[in-house]
Amino acid sequence: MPATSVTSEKAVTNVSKRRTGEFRRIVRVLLSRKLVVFGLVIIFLLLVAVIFAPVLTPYDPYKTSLRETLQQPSWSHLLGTDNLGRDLLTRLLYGARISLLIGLVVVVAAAAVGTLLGAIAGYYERWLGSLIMRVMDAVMSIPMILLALIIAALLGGGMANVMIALAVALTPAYARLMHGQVLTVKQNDYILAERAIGSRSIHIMLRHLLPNCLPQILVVMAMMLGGAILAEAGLSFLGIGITPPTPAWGSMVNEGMQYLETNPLMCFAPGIAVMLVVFAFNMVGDGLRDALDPRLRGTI
Amino acid sequence: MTTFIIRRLLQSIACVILVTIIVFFTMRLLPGDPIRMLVTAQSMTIMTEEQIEFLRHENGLDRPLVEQYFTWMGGILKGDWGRSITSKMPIAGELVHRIPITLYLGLVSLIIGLILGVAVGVISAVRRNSWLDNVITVLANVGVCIPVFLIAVFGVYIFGVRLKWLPIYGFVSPLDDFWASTKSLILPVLCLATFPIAGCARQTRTSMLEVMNQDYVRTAWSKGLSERIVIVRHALKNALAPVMTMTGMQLGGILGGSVIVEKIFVIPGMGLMGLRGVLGQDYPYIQGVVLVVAIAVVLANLLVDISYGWFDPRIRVR
Repeated sequence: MPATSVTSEKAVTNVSKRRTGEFRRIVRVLLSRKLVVFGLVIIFLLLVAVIFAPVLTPYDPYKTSLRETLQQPSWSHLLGTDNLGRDLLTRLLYGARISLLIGLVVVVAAAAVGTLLGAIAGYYERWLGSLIMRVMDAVMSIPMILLALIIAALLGGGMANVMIALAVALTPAYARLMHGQVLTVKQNDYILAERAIGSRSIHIMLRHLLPNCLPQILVVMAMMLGGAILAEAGLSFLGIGITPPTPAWGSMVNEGMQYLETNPLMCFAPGIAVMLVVFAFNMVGDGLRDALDPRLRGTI
Repeated sequence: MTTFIIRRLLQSIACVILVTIIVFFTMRLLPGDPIRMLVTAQSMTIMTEEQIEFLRHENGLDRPLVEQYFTWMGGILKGDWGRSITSKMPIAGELVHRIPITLYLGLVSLIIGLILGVAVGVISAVRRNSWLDNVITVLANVGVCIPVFLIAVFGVYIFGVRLKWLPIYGFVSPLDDFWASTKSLILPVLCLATFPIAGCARQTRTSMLEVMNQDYVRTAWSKGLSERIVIVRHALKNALAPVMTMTGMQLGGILGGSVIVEKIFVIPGMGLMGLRGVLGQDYPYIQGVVLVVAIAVVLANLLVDISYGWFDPRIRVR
């Protein structure tokens, strides 16, 4: 049947054309805004630092040198050295790895668990759903940083525990979003049709509910990446997250506080690094939201 | 409206009780152990296992979890919030001194954030796409991503170390010396208010732009009302509802941020208390702080929900 195969081929190319067209439109919307472009440049630089840190700097982020402590910026140490004689720029570059790794893992974990909980709560509206959502409400009424502090402290600090603590603190936001989305999508006739032909719940959830809510979840993930990095910096600053000598930006600011008068760069450089990276992810998240679904403006 | 308020009030109480359950049991199920912390912190490593078990028994930590929970809750209702495991001091007494400090700091920051943020947001929306709007938008976007500790470090460096205008730590009660108190609070409030200012500005701008396109605003214009009346009475009043929701949620952020701010500026408030409790894994201490914070946050959300009726009469009917 040559005729049908031709038409189906045509259909396929049409679909893929529409996909690339959509992709181009998103890229165009993103690149049309200066702040988003600025954010993309920062993220690019961050990735360069994450991947090429050992190539970019001749120094070791952990090796102390008591003869070179607290140096002012110079050609050999562009940002100077810290109280243990370690090159500040080197520690900054290696710190990018920690920030990005924690941010990504936390956001993905929180999104996975939160989306699942929200989907279950939205699908089984009765007691299970309301139980899940009431628990989420309760968790949300504890300030994120306080909740993460408690969990991280009781787990004992360290990178994995910080990730768990922050992921738990961020989960309710996804659950709430997904819950709302599922309640709306559920009203559609095609869900009713699926039910009528006897599809299993898990099939409906994975095939219909999840894909319909995916754009919003992706947008929130992008926007929360900055928040997660900010929260990790806060925990490390308080001495409960990533602890020295690991070069986490938050704990570097904390270490630098004592030398604020003579070497303010020890505080300013890592603090500004956190700010720039969070700014970049927020801007790209905002841009992505407007490009994917302008109706979300003001709601997320 | 009354039934709505009563229902929301009951929901709020249920939410707070749920918080106590979650925090109480999660803490005890996680690997941390306040007695071990106490023993290592005070270098009492020579203690025998029996002595450690005695300490555990003395603090009631060897009893079944459910029993411990109800003992604690019963105490709360009677005004006995338990004693700190580390310092043995009654927690209620300490909270009474610390709550006003954190609340004062937080509310001042929140009110400044709301007023300044809304004002800036309205200007930004009314003068849309002007250079002023662009500057405000960029600043507001920067404002929501500055870490609290970076503002603190900048503030301390500029106003404390270089200019020597402001004290860089300490807290003076406004009842003792209002001027000195205000001076000591400028930097902490600056740290805590930046996020609310920026957040409110962004939200106000977005919802003002939305409202300005509504029919009733066009009607107001066409009635020939002055710009001020249209913007303030017709547009802003309706645009404020989402801003209020956000402000309610920001109280939690401020109370969380006060942990960091109180640590940097050595302010003897609840944030510092929470941090000390967390560092010592002191269960009753943490429970006390979380309970107060959760009540504050839930109460703020309740007030916001009730205020909705005032901002948007359409909700009152429902």
